[in-house]
Amino acid sequence: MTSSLILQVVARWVCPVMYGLTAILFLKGHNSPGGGFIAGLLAAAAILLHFLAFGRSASRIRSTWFVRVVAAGLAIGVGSAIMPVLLGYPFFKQTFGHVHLPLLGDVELASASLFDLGVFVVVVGTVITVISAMTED
Amino acid sequence: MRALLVAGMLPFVGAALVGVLGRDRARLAGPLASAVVATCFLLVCRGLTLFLHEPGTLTYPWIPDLGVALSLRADGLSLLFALLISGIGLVVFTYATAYLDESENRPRFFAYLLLFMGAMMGVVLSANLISLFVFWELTSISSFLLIGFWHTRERSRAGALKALVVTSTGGLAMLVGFVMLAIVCGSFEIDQIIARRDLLAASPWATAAAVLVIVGAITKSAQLPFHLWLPSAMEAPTPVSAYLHAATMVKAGLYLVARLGPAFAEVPIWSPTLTALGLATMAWGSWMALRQTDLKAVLAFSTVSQLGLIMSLLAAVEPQASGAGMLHIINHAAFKGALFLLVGIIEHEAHTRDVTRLGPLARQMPATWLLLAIAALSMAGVPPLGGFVSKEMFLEHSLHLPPVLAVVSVVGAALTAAYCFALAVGLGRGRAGGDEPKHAPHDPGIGLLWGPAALVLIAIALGFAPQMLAGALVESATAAATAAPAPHFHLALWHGLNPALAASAGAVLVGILLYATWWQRSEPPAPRLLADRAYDAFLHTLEAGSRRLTDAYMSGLLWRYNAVVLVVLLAGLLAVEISDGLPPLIPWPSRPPLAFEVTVALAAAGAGLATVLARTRLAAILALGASGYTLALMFSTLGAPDLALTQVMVETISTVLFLTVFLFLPAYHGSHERGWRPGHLLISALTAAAAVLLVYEARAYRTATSISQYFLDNSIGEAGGHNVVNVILVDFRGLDTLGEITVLGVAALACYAIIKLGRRPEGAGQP
Repeated sequence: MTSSLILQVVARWVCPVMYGLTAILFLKGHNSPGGGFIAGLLAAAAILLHFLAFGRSASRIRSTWFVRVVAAGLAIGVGSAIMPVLLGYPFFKQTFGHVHLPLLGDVELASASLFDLGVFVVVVGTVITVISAMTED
Repeated sequence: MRALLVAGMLPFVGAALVGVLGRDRARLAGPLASAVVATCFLLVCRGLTLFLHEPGTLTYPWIPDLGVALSLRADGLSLLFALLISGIGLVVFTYATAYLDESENRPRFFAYLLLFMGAMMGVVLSANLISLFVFWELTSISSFLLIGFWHTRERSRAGALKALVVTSTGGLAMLVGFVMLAIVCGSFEIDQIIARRDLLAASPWATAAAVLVIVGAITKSAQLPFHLWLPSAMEAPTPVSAYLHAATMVKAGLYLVARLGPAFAEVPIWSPTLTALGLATMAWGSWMALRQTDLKAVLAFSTVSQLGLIMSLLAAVEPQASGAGMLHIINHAAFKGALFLLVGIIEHEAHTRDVTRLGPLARQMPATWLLLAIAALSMAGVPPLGGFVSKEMFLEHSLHLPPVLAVVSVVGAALTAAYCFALAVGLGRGRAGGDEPKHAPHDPGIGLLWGPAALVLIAIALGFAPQMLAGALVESATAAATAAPAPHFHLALWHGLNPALAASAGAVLVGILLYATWWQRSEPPAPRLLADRAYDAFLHTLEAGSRRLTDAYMSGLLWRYNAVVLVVLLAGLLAVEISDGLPPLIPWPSRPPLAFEVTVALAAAGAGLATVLARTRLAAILALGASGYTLALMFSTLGAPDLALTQVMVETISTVLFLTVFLFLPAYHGSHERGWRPGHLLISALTAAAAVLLVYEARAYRTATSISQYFLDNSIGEAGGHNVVNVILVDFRGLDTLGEITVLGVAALACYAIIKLGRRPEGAGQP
């Protein structure tokens, strides 16, 4: 894959910003626009940008590996739904609490965030699996 | 009660642990799994001491809004089955540890086997129909995995598929029956349903519900006409055949009949249907068993036949008959489990299961043969073995049935005796004309023999002291299966001179005669089952039909697919509009559109037009992206920042996706080359008009108040989030999201499979 120097320079600066934004979107998602789905798409876009700029070998993207990411995401999602049952609550019971983190301010620790993490991982895994599978060989 | 909960959960935990053992630790799989099963066995024994006379229950809410609970019930019936599952399980697991070759994938085998065991415990301990159904289907799935364990063999795969198709179809029918039961009786809890059985008997749905539940039970227990899967399931490794397809899983149907018998007893179709089916299966199965040459096939048909016998007993929902059924369940588990394990040993040693090629086993492997003969004679109903006691009770019961059924049951007993003698004596002497195998087989070590030996000892003991060993358990199980106080039985070998004894003696004599005259001489042809042919024809027709259908519409032309989808959508909408009539269209509250909105709408329309008119594919892709971005702009002005963000990200990624597949696409023919197609234009215009109409109509059809306000009010209090969209996604509607990400994951997997596996050089079938 041919890649331009301009794209590489841009990607080198923009990718970290996108990852940072991903973190913010994910963590703040419960109270302001964002959440696992959007954050997952943004992270996938960042990975894609890196991939387009530097090519496959530098990005080390393999569809065989990302299929497992999808599975891991689903496992997190299902696990977070089942966990309350093991603790004696109904299936999918959610709860929440607050913690203070530097820079981000008041961050809520909701049990739903764990499920949101599952959504995030599945989205990233799916997008990268599909695109990398299509571009391989 | 917690002991039993743990006994039900432990196999699943064990399956996960054993399943992840690496190749280098594969030797540990057997012992570890056996330890899990032994623990379960002890826990069940503990449960037995607690709940034999006083049933216990334990309930966890699962989906309380739907009345679905994870409730456990421990009474005589469930404990009897739990004891079989864990007891026979212990024998089978240790046997399999010695039986399986070093080269087999042991962790996988034992993980599947533990998964099955957990599912089976779930079936018999569930007090709620929905959880019973879930575990029931799980047993079908684990049975599928185990039958197909040697998945490189064509016949294993076909057998596994057949078992899955038959039992899961029956399971679905049963689910419908369960839902009917719950609607009529107002609960999924089995106790409640039995308590309100008058409602059921009076309901017009009773017959339908009974038929559907019967279908579930007879598919699982391989009764006529659904017996076909069990002989094919013999492709499984022998320990699996012994455990699933003789001692436990096939008895799930019997369990269901016993458990729900009290509820259906008053429904006229229940008892006669099951009695007739059971007896017909018994006679027919034993006739088929007599005509097989493959030892496992003999045992498979014999299992079909014996299950029919028990089914006819449990169908009566009457203490004497149910008691006989329960005792025979225990007997059958002991002698049939032993027979399967011994046949496994014979195959292991002699490298054949063909009756005509096995030499005189009494000389070659005396210990194995002796055990085999005792187990077979117990099945034949020869005193003083356990099988005799329950067989007497069976004949006692069936002699009081209408004459036709009585004759069928005596004939079945005679045929059973005949093939049992063929197993016991015929194998011991070797068949006339059978050539000796090259290297003579001999008895195996104690590792393989102790399990069947223990089962045979039980089969003997059950003859001498049935009341002491099984009396209390049978009485308690009968109480549960008849919803009546526990009866008092006198289980014993000798009941005096009565018609049943005469019938029994006659059956055994005829059996010996049949064996000595007919079986010894004939080359039994193993006929193809009629049901098997029907199944194959059905599968063939289904495949050919779906291929024709697929060929008809899968033309490979994307525009044609789109046209089909849209036309079907329009036709469906049209049908609804015609049948319901147009509702009064309530106009949306109108306000003059803002200049900004007009601009964005025009931009979206322009981008759409540009997509259609583009001369190159690249231009079309970019224009399509632009139309998506304008939509995102629209969302952001309407106070939906989450939607706008998502739209932007999706648009970006799908544009990249388009670009990545760019190279693989065929030459682009835009509208400027192909010319306008009026038909396509019409479909597009109609689709757009239909979409607008739908939006208007949706307003007219609103019957309930909007749920939006509920979400807005409860988002912070209930879920602690200010972003209502996200709270709906991960909390209020979390289950929906779980379903959606599952779909997403499966789609990713499918894409991966199509792209990666479709490109193999030998994949000639790719489009």
